[in-house]
Amino acid sequence: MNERKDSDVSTDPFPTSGDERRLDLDVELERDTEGVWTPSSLPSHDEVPPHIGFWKRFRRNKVALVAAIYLVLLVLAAVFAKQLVPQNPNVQNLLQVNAKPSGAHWFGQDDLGRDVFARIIYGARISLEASFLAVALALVVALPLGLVAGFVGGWVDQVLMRISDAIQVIPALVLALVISGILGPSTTNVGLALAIVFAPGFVRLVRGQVIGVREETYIEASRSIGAKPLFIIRKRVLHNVASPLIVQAAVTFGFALLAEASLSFLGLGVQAPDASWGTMLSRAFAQVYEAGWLLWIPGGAIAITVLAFNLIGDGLRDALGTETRGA
Amino acid sequence: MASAAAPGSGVARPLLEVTDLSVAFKGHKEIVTVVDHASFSLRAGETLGIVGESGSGKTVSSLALLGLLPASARVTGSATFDGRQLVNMPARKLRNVRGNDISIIFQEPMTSLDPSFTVGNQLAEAYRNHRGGSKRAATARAAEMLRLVGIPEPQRRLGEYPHNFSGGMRQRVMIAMSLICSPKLLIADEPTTALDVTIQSQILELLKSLQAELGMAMIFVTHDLGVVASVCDQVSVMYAGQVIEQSPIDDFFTRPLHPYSAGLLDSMPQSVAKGERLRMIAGTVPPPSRIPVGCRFNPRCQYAVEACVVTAPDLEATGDGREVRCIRHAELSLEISR
Amino acid sequence: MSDATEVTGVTDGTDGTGPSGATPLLRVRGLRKIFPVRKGVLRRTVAHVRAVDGVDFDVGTGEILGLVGESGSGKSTTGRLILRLIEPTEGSVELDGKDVRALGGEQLRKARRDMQMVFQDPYSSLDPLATVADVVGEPFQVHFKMSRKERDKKVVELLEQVGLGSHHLRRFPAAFSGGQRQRIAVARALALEPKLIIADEPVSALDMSTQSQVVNLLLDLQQRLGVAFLFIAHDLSIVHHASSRIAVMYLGALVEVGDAEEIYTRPRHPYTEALLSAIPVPDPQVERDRERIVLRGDPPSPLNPPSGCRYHTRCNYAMDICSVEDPQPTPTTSGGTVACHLHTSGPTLNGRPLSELGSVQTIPVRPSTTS
Repeated sequence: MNERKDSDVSTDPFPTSGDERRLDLDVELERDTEGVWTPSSLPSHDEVPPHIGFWKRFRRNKVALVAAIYLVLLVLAAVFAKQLVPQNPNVQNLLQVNAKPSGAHWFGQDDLGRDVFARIIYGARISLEASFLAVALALVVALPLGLVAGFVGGWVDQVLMRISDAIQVIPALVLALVISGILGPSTTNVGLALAIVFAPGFVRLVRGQVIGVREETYIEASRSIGAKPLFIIRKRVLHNVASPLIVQAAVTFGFALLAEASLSFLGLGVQAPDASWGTMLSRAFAQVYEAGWLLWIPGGAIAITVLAFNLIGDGLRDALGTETRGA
Repeated sequence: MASAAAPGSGVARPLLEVTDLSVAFKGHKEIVTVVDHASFSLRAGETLGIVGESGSGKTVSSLALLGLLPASARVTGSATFDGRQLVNMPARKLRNVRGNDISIIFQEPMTSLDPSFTVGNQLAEAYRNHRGGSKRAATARAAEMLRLVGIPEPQRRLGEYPHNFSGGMRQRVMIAMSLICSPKLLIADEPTTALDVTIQSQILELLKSLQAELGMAMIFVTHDLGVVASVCDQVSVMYAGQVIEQSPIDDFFTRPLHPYSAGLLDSMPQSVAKGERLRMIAGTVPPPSRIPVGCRFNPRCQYAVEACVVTAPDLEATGDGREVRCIRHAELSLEISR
Repeated sequence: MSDATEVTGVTDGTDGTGPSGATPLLRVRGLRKIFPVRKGVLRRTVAHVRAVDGVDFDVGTGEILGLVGESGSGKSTTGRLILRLIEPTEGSVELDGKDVRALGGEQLRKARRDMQMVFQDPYSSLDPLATVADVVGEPFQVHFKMSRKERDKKVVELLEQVGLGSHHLRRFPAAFSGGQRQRIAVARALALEPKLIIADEPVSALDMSTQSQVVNLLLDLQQRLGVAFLFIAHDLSIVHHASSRIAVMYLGALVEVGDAEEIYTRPRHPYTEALLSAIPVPDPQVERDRERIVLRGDPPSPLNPPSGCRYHTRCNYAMDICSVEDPQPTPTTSGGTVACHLHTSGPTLNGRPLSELGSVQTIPVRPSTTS
């Protein structure tokens, strides 16, 4: 089925060899083995590196692009919260309890009269911090473990996989609940707990990828050159594992945000008076009969942000051209 | 059995006449033409070799005949088979032709057989799809076909699954399946490429003897000129989506008309003394998105002149039953020394 | 199956290829690889595959030895055993008189400089995410401390050697055709100036018009740089063209070794004869006239090779002894060796075995190539 690839040609713009100028005929006759139309044929085998033309492909997915812009703005807002929001999120105004949104207070005021907009922005900071901590920590732990498990195999692999099995049989939220219960309520501890919950998934993903890559001939080629295992992992395996890992990290980020909110809702996250979206939701829940609309604001923020992470994950998956193998 | 291939009728009207067959795929921005006005014809009982490198369009053109291309393909031109127009034939009617009047076998026999059904089941199913009849009759027919393709103990092997067969045996099963409805035309797409040479020679001998026995016509899609020499009567050479030469094989192998044909024949190790540098064609086949202006072969052609860069040559008949797409074919004499 | 390895006068350079007498560049003796077949949860070994089963051959300095066989013959495994990409079960591999099998980790890494490999599929042997500079420069990164600039300079030199321009340096493999990728792979193999390159089916994944380009490149390199090649392939006609000697492998064992021209025109082993006869010749006249030897059946599984001569189940000349006794390599009059009972226990004429009758047993499988 040689020709199936022909149909794909248009999707992969061929980089040219720079040899496209027409040679005059005398030269043409003497031309060496390298043809004029060099980069050619067989695009079916061709894996254009995912980072080449990444932006072009990512931009094509408008929904993911919008999600990415939203997240960038959210992160910027969280980082520059002080400059952006004049109100102090923790200043109470008991005269204006559960006030509806107005020009001065865009999202209204909560049960203690605090500015909800300010709390959402400052809350974003805490929610994102905890999620980032969870994902980053999980990656830092899981990447080397997954690489070792996949590359070395044998009993190391067996042991690591059994440990991750043991962690993964417990439902994620229950586990996170137990761990942060033991560690005590704080943002950092929520991040830690979630990292423990996420790490096994990452280990598995990395391991699966490595096992796939390990069988490639180019790894054998590196071995035949005399490359040490560490060199091979660093130079040959790592970047081939990166794409699916990035996608997975984006999706996990969304899940981390949701989990952080759940834990905070249950009182295990950040402590009063600081707010995260989960604690805000929890407070609003207590006021559901007095001010039901208050639920919508942190709830909406959580939903939209989680959705954004997932959409970006999809966009990345398309743009990086990864199907998650073996994970 | 071979009633349609009545002697004499072939001379007047070919069994399959393909004219100006073009296949284009819609890409992101542009439309990529992978087969461009291909024409060839084939008489009953005859074997045509379609030769080309990967990307030449040889497989696509054979798949196009049977409507086996993805929906994104646009097929134009004409392909008359036994008085019926195959191009743009409604899918339901085409399915009737496929496997019945025209069969196809592919390069990889493993992927063409369903691993979860027994070989007997699949063979009988293939028969009953077109001919109906009882299961028992179909199974008897299946056993007969297995015997015909040289599989020992056909009755027992009917009950086995594809994974119980070796690569060569699987290809025999595929051949049995494609011939079970006594087609008038068998299209074999690189049927031996995945096989070892000793198995390849078994399969080639088998196909030749089956053809003699059943009187069907064959189209052999291949990149191997040795295979062409051993099974074909006629050869069509494709390059970058075009047919560039059509000749009877004896003429082709001694006096090719197109510089590309000559280049291919010349680059075989047999044509130079041992230890010498092999002759070669410079460069590589252009992808469909980078087809050269003028003659498509001109950047690689050692005989190219100014005019070759400017005008795209047509496929011309030379009078002695051969056709070539080269403006200089009359002045060039490309004898193959061997 | 004890030690059937020490055999009389095996395959040495007495056939006029290069200066004989000196120690060969590569000396392989009794090379054996037995893969266990594991099944079930307990991964219990249920059977053994004798992938390579006692192979002896030499490669001289600057020589091209062709290793021919069908799939499952163990030819690719042999190549990998020599490089120790797969650990041999038994046997010795000496490069320049040094036993490669005795080398430990660091020494082995160093020794690999002298032996490099070119793989069959240039699409999977190049890391898709590494640039040409990275791929070809990898050996330098591994073995030397070198600045990026120096490395790139070396890479450009290597690319020139294989006929590629320096403007390719920052491109990814996807931008290249099969033939060009194979050139890149060859450039990588040349980087450390090896004495021996093991080329595992280097052209079989390529298009026909590019195959000859790559074969020519390998021949050039051998002549210019004096690199020796173990040219592993299934296509006897290409191997015949490129190599000075040919070794034919069947089911893990060598059945015949000898001068390339001899083997091609006067095969001594029935399997070599059949293999030659099976290759379709690009000449319709010859194809019509010749009597093709069609082998019976499929090659037996290496899981369960036949007793005695492993070829006897498909051999047209099989005698009683063939199913009982494994034939030992016997010197032929042309300086090669053949493992076949026809040459030792076979019919004799005038009291002399066939092997001594020289080129009597010729079968016209193809026209003479020198006309």
